Amino acid sequence: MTAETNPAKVVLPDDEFAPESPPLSPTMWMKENLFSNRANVVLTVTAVAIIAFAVRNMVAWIFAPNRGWEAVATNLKLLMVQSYPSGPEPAIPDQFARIWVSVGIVVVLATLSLAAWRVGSRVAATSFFKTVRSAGSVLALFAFLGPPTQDYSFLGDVDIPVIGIFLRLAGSLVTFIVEATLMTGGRLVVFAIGAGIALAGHYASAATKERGEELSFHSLLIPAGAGALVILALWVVPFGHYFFVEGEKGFETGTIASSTKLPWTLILLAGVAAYFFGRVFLRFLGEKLLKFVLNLGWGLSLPVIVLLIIRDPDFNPEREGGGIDFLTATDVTIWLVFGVIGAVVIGFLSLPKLGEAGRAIAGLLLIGSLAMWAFPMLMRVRLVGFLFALFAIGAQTFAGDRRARVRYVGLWLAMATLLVFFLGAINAPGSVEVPGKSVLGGLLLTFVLALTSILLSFPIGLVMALGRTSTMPIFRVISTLYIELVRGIPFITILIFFDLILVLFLPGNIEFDSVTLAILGGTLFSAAYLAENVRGGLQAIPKGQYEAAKAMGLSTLQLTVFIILPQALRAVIPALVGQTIAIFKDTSLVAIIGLFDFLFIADKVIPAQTIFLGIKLENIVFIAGVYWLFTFGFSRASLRLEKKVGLGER
Amino acid sequence: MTVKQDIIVCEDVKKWFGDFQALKGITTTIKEQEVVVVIGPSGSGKSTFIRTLNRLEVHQEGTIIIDGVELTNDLKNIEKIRSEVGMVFQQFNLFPHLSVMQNITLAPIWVRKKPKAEAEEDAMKLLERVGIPEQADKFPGQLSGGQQQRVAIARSLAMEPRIMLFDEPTSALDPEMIKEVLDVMKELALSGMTMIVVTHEMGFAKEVADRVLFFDYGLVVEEGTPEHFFTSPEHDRTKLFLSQIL
Repeated sequence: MTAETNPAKVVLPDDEFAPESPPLSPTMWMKENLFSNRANVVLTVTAVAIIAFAVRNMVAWIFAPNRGWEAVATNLKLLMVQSYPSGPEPAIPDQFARIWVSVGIVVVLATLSLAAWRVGSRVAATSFFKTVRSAGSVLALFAFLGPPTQDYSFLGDVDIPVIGIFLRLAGSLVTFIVEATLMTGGRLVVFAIGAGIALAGHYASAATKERGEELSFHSLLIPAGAGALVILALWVVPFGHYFFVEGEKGFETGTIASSTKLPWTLILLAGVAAYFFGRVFLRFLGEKLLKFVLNLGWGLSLPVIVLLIIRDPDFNPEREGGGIDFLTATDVTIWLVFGVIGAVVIGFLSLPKLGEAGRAIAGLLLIGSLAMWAFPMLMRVRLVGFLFALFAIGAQTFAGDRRARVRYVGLWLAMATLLVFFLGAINAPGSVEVPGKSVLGGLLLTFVLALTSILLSFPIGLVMALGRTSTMPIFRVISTLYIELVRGIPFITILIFFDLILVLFLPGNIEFDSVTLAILGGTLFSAAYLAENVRGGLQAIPKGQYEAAKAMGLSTLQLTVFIILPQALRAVIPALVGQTIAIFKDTSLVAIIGLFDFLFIADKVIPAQTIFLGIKLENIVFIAGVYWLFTFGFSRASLRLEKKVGLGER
Repeated sequence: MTVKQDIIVCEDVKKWFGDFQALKGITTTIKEQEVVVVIGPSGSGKSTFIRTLNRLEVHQEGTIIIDGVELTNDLKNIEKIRSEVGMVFQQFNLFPHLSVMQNITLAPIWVRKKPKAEAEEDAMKLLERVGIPEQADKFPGQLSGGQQQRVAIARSLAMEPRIMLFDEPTSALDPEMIKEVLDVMKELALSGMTMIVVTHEMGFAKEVADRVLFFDYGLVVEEGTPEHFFTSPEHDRTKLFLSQIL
C-alpha cells in the first residue's frame, strides 16, 4: 500500500568526480605549513630550536657514561614480579614457568582477539618501505644531536674569573661542532645504523615500485616481524647480561639466558599460532562463537592467573587431626545447595505465569540473604547467597521465551560454580611462598590491583549512579552519601584506613591480606568516581527514551538494562577510559601499606642495593616509559572502541 | 453493525503541573474502533490528555477506565494497560543503539515473552505493512524521519495493542514525508484500530476521524463529527482557531 511513491522518470546527471588535489612536494608543503608568513617563520624556528635542544639534552643524559642503566637491566625481574617465586636459593625452577604461562595466556588471548576483531589492514609495501626510509633518515640526523664527549677548554685549567666560564662554553661548543662534523664519539655508529636503515628502505621501496603490481602485506606483520626480530636477536646477538647474586654484581658475555629467550620464543610462536587458529575458527565456526569464547577467556583469565597459576592454592592440605578437605565438603555442599537447588528455584521463579508473585518471592530471598550477615556463618555462604538473591530478582525480568529461561538458569549455574570454586581457591592456602607481605609484586602487582579494582568497581559504580538518579529517596540518599564521602577523601587515606582501621570493625575471625585490602580500597574509591561519570551519561539520555520504553510496558529494570545503560555507557567511554588510566597509575600509592609495587621497587628497593646505591633517576625514567606505554595503549584501544560503537554518528 | 463497547471512559479528569492546571475536567467516552482526532492550540492540554491515558502523566483527580481497568498507582495495572495501549511520539523516540528489528521485537520478547523467532517473523510482517521491510537491519540514525516514524508505529503495533495513541506524529517531519506516515495511519484506522490522534493535519481529521475533540484551556471546548466541526462550529473559540489555520 504505502510503497515508495514513484516520481516521474527524470534523467539525473551523474555525479562528477571531485577535482584531484595532487600531493604537495616536501618543499611546497613546508612553505605552505611552516613558513607561510612572518609569524609562522618565527614560531617554526623557535619550536625547532627548543625541540632540538630538549632532544639533545635528553640524548646526552641517556648516553652519559656514568648513567647506571645496568641497575635497571640487572633488576628487570625484580621490577616485573618482585622476588617471585624466590624463597631460599636455589629457586624452585618450575615456579618460574608460572609467570611465563601467565604471560603466554594473555598473549594468546590478545592475538586471538586481533583475529576476532579483524584488526589490521593491507599495507602497500612501497609506502611501508618509504616510512622505513624516513625513520632511518631521522635516526641518522640524530647523530648530529649527540653531546660533546669531552669538555674542552682552550686554556686548559687556567682559571680566569668570568672569562674562564665563557672559554669553557666556547670550548664545548667547538668540540661539539668538530665532533658532529667529523662524526666521532659514537656518532658514527648511530649515523651508520640510521643511514643503513634509510638506504635499505630506499632500495626496497624502489624495488617494489619497479615490480609495478601493487605489493602489499598485512599490517599485523609489522609488530609480529619486529617481535620476531627482537627475539631472534636474543638468540644471536651477544648482548651479555648483568647478574646479581648474593650482593655481587657481575657481567656475563654471550647471548641472553635461556630462561628468558626460550619462553619468549615459545610465547611468540603460541601467539602467532593462536592468531591463525582464530582466523580459521572465524571462517568455519563464525564470529559470534569466537567472540563468546574470547569473552569467556578474558573474563576467566584474571582469576585463573592470579588465584590458580600464581598462588597455586593447595585445595587439600594435610592437616593435623585429619581435617575436612576444602573442595570436597564445604564448597561442594554450598554448590549443591545454592547452585543446583538454586537453579531449580530460579527456573521456577522465571515461569512467565508467576508474574508479580515471582518478584515478591525474590524480594523475600534478597532480604533473607542480607539477613545472613546478622548470623555467624562462612563469608562464602553469604556471598553466594547474595548473588543467588540478585539472580532470583532478575528471573522474572530477563526470562523471556523458553530459550532465554534456559540460558538464564544456565548462566546462574555457571556463575555459582565459578564463584564457589574461586572462593574456595581464595580460602585455600597458596603453596608458592615468598618473603614479604604478598606473593604479588612489581608490575604484576600493579596490573592485578588495577584490573581487579576497575572490574569490581564497575558494577558498584553503575548501581551507585543509578541510585543517585533514582526516584527512590533511600537509594538516592545512600548513593549520594557514599559518593560524596569517598570523593572527599584522598586515596592514600582510604588505603591507610583499610589497612589499619578496618580490622577493628570486622568480626574477630576475618582477616584480609594487604593485596585484598588494597583491592577493596581501590574498588570503593574508583566506584565513586565511576558513578559520577556514568551519571553524566545517564543525564545525557533524552526523556523520550524513558517514555517510549515505558509506553511499551517495559519494567523499570528492563528499561534500565536494555535502553538506558547501553546508551549511557557509550556516551561516557572516554571518561571511563580516563578513570581506568587514573586507577592504573594510582596503584602506585599502595606502597604506603607496605606492598612492593612497580614504583616502590624503582624508587626505594633498587637504590638501596649495595652495588646500585643511590641509582634512582634511571629506574624512574624506565618505569615512566612503561607506565606511558600501557596508558597510551589504553587510550588507543578506547578510540577504537568509540569508533566501533559508533559514537557521534547517530 | 454490532454494538461497540466503550473502551476508554474519562470522568472529570484533572491534572496540575505545580500551580498550573493543564486539564480542568475532561469527560469523554471513546468506543471500540473509533478514531478520535484531538486538535487545539498549543498549551491547550491535548498532549497532556493523551499522555494521561497510558499514565506517562499522572492525573490527580477524576477517573480513567481503560478496557474496564481503572488507572491507579497499582504498578500491575499500569504495566498491563501500557502493553495494551500503543503510543507514537512526535520525536519518534526510537532506540538509537538498537536496529530496526531489535526496536520492534524488544517489547514482544521481554514483556509478552514471545519466542524470538516468532517475534521477528511478526516484526517483518509489520514492516511490510508500514512499507519498509528492506530497512529491518538498519539503525534508526540511518533512516529518514518518515521512515523512523513508520518504524515507531510498527514498534507499537508489535505489542498488538487494542488502542493506539498518536502524539503529533507528523509535526517533526519534513512536508514530503508527512504523507507516507498519514497513509500508514489511514490504513490502520480502516483496519478497525481504536485511535486517538493529536494532530494539526486537518485533512487527516476530515478524512478519517469519526469524531473531533477541540481542546482549549484544558477543556474540551467542542466536539462532534468532522462535518459538523469544520462546517458549522458553534463556539467562537473554535471558529477563531479554524480561521487561523485553514
